Amino acid sequence: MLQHNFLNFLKGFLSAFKSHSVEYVEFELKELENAFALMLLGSLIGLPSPPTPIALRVLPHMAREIYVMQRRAKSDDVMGEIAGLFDI
Amino acid sequence: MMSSTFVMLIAVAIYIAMYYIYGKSLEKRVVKADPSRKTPAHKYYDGVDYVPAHPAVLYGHHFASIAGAGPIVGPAVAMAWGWLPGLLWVWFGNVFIGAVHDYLALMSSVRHDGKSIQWLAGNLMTKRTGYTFELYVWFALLLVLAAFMAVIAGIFSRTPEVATASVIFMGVAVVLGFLMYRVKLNFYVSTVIGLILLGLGIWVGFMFPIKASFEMWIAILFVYSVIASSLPVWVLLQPRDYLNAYILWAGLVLGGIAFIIIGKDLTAPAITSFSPNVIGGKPSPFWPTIPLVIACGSLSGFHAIVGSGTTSKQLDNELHGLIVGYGGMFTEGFLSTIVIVSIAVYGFTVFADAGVSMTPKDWGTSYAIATTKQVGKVGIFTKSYAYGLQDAFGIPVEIGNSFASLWVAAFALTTLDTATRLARFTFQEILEPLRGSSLYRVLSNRWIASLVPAAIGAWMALAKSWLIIWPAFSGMNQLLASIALMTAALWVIKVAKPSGAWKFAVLIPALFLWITVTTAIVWFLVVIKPSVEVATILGVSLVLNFMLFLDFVSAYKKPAVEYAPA
Repeated sequence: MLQHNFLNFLKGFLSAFKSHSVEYVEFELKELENAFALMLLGSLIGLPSPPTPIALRVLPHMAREIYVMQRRAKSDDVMGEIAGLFDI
Repeated sequence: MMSSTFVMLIAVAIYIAMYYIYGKSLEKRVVKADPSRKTPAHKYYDGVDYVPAHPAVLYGHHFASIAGAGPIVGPAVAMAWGWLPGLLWVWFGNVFIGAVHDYLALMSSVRHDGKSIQWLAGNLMTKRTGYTFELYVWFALLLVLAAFMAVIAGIFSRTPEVATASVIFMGVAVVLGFLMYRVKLNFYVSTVIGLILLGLGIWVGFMFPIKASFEMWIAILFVYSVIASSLPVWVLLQPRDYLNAYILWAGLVLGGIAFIIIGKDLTAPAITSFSPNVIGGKPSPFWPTIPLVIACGSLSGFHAIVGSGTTSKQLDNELHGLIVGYGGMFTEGFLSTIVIVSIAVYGFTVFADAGVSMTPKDWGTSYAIATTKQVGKVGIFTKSYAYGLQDAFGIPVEIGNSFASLWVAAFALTTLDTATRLARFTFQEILEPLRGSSLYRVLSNRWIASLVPAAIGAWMALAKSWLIIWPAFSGMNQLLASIALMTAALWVIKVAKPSGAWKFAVLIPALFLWITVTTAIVWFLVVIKPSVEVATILGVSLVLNFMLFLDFVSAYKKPAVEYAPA
């Protein structure tokens, strides 16, 4: 049992290294996703957007992004998130 | 004489015992952690931000995010009081303040859908409080830049071989980043290549040391921080930070084992006096000035931001919070314990090597000054640590010293890079009221927004008054901690509603910390009389600090019904 727990701990530990190796890249990816979502759905917040038919055609693919965007807008702590990510 | 083995074992025993006695009580009686309550990671699972993680992963991740050069530098300077006061402050601070603070910041965020402590402060207190938090961050960043530029320039000018190794380290990081993120080479293969190259870098450092003065390095670091903060993260920052995690863990494990098995006596004086010469080289009373010297190793405000920022969104089960938040802080405290024990054992040897005559009698009056002027504020630790590795494993002192210096320098460089990045974002936010004017367009330009904080940082670092800059930075950090802890206290009292007198377990540390830090900063402004820019930064934050306290009091008086239960 103890050995099993220890192995699990080591496994988790190694994957901590793994996740540590991509966290900033993930953050940038998220920013790019935001920018992409903004390009497509900008009309929701009054930004000029691509022609409506195109936007409507890609809309179904953006369902999850809309949820994510909404939640991010509500929690409103980009500063905190960045500060948390960049270990100071 | 006290043996290092004994002290290290006491540390381990205290951490394990307090984890089960005090930590578990906090979990049961204050937070009332419930494994059946859904955490944000499950409630809002999106595969991006909200993802449940294995507790060991999260623990490693959280620890790697909170640990930096801070827990090494502060305790090294605090040795001026003798090893006992510093050690007690680290342990006492960890158990009753720092770890409580980290744990509660994490758990209050978990109960509020993973929202940050700043958001909570705004919600539980007033909107103004939330905005004040951001201002705090910018001012703190200026001091971070100054303090860490001085740390790195100090290491590089004193140990040129580490300068070469660090430059090579950057090259290795770029290669690793390219292999991992562009060539998409297997994760483990690229890691092994990176680590081998890193080892070679240390070796090359001895062959071709880069010699330059302190001032020259400050100038180079100024240019570096502006450029590095504008590079895409995958180029340098991400791979270097990843390699840092290996160095950190290797250093921690090697050091922990070394100082447990060597069993050397702690030769440095246990206690020198209540007011040795520390801050600004002037007599500094242990209370209230200790938090101005030991920040991150005992308690740190930035941990609240980490805990409530990324960690809370990945907690799988409320019962994992204790090992991640509370245990993560203990691990950092253990790192500080290694620092203190290593200097206590080998301090005299290191001073003798540097040609400084030091006796137990004048340790209190001249330790801090001799350290910063002759041995190096980091050098005192890296050399003591290297002696420990030599006695325990037979690793040559030069290599051990080079390894430990590289470790601290790598962390400090990452901090510099990220602090400039952060300062740029924050600066643009702070300028918001100017929006529309031509001044706004000039100042919010990404290069200008990086240049301004980096220049202020370099200018302060050049003043060479490190024993003033570091306490100012620590003071900011500790003020942040006291505010975050007060927010957590408010959350505990109004929302979590602990049983019996347990609310005092949070309220008392919060008030104690606020009073201590506020007194310390007033003392600092009155007695040390820092230069105009440092005094302005601290003066402004002191005013903000009182505003936040008033907010806290008025929020405390409000009836609990006004707060929605989580």
